[in-house]
Amino acid sequence: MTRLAEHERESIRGILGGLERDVSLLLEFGPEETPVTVIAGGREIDFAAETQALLQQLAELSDHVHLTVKETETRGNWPRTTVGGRLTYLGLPWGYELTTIVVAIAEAGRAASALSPESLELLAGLEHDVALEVFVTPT
Amino acid sequence: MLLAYRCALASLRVSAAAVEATEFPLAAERHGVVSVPAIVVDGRPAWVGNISEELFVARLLTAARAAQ
Repeated sequence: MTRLAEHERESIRGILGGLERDVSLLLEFGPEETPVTVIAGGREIDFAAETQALLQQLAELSDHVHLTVKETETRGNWPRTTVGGRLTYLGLPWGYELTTIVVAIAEAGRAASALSPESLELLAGLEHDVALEVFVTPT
Repeated sequence: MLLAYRCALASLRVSAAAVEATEFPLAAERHGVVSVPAIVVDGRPAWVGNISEELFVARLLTAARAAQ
């Protein structure tokens, strides 16, 4: 399993030190709908196990971060991490994408939105649900 | 991704998911993803690249209206 380097742990601990409220992490995994094999460092990557290991390490860095792990038998797009009950990450947040999860935790841990008043007013005018998906890569 | 997450936290009408493209290549292919970050709104490719908050919210609202 991937272990965070000490400098990474220190950096993340600093970011999570700014959390103003508790943040839940829910990791769900099960049989993958479309299994993908990735070899890295001479071994096949177990996405769910790697994700769980990373999230556990993140949770260890702040008393405000609480991890729950659920395994399902339902075929689907796994692993799925839900931050603060609202923010989703599909896949293993490795490489640069570790930052995405850390940022999600930091944002979910804010007491107030970081968006401008103008943006908040525009979003308040939404009359229908909107689903955003952002495709990212670890490199 | 930051702005998508901020919008989702600001409005219960907005959901935001990051999708690791190399792990879900079929989904990426379905949406024609060739570079990242690629933003899909209500299942439709919307734009690619990082943009300002003002532009992000404006595009989100425009794409949401177009998807209705």
